[in-house]
Amino acid sequence: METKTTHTVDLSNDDRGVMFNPDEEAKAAGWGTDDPYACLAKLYDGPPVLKGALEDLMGIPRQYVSDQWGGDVYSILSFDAVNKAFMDPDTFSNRVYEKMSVTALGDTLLNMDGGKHKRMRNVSKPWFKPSFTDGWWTDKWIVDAVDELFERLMAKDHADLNLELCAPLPMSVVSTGFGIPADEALEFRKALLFHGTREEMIKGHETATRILMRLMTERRAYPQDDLISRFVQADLELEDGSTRKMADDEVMRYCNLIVHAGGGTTWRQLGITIMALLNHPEQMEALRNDRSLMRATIQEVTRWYPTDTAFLRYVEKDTVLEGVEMKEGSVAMLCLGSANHDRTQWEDPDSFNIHRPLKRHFAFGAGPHACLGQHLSRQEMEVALGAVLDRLGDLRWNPDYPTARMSGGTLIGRGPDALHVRYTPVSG
Amino acid sequence: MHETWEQAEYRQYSCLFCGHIYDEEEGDSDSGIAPGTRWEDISDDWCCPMCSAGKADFELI
Repeated sequence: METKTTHTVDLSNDDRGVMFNPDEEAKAAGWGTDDPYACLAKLYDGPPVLKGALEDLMGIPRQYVSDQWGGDVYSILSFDAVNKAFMDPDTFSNRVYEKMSVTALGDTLLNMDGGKHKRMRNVSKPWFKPSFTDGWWTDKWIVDAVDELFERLMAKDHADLNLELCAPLPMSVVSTGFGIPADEALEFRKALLFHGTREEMIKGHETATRILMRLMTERRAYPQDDLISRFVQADLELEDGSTRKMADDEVMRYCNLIVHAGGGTTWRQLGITIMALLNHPEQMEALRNDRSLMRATIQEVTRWYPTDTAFLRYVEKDTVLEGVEMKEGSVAMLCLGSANHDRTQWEDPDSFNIHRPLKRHFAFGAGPHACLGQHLSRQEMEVALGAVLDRLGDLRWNPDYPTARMSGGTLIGRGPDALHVRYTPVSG
Repeated sequence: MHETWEQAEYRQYSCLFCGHIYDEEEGDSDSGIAPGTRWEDISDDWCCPMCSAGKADFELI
């Protein structure tokens, strides 16, 4: 008898906690949870670049900036200024993240720069390009995961889509696509939690290492159609143009980054998308009737409310941006939130409107560090949203629960607290 | 007098997803596209050297 493969993680209320509740995550990290857009409104009509930490300008508790950094801090606010900073990595580098992410994820693409970053990114670039996400990721992982999650949703008429669709889908897709079995995906993801005691983080690191070392050994002996098999066979180009195979710790750090980044951000962004459509039923109906609007819908929701409000860069040399002098050693806070609401770029930018023409924005960053997995993330959201529209008839908020609200850290990790809905299952 | 094709100004195209700019004057050395290559002469399966988006995801700027 054929054994059915499980593609997804089945989350329960007990799993909400730090990992699947944006406010709890923010609380554990010591972040404020004010809505960013209410705080940013006063900056929209001001200068494009201001000296000072974004948190101070917004009037919120410090979240990113630490006095231990030394150097000055600048806030980059307008579309043009944020674009210039993203597209000039020689001046605005990513080594600022050495102090923030290396402890948890190790030396990864996030904190690398220049040739080292390019050569390391080139290893996996073919596996995240649109044609590969439309084909391999979708056919092999996304569709099956969505179908499995909807099997559970079809058996009832109400759900918390945040916990039962948005959270498990990307975690399941990136984990199983990488080669981590679905029944170990939650354990692996928990092991990568940023927030905990030193002992908890060491224990988590040991758990992640144990799982990945086992999988790498297995895949070297018996390659499968997954990313770990591709990584252990991949060539990494070196500075002198020669190549070598990826080392175990390099594969592990790649995996840590992809599972961490791919699981969390798409979860929250898909939740924001469903929340926005439920709060704008006329736009949900328009999308239901005209799926050619799908791409514009994803582009608009990521512009209107990106899950992360700001990214950081290190100022590598004295420079002038939009007339403001910055000293080498300063930190630049690139505010995606204000740039994506720039009055000179969009009409009525604070409104959610899926009928806008397609236009570039910064939800996934830009330049050489533009999100590696953005095409995968968009594809996951499109397939999931299509299933929501096809299979959850008469979709509406569940009046038995409090109204969903945006939650999480003001500058990072925003998303709905829950998405309690009622619906009529549509079969076929 | 009309410009000839060779004399026409080089154009730039920007990637919708990452902002990478294809400048006809510079080409794309990573993909083996010589300087001066016009947008129309680039293969449809060429993709953004930065984020791998397709040629159709570029717009004239």
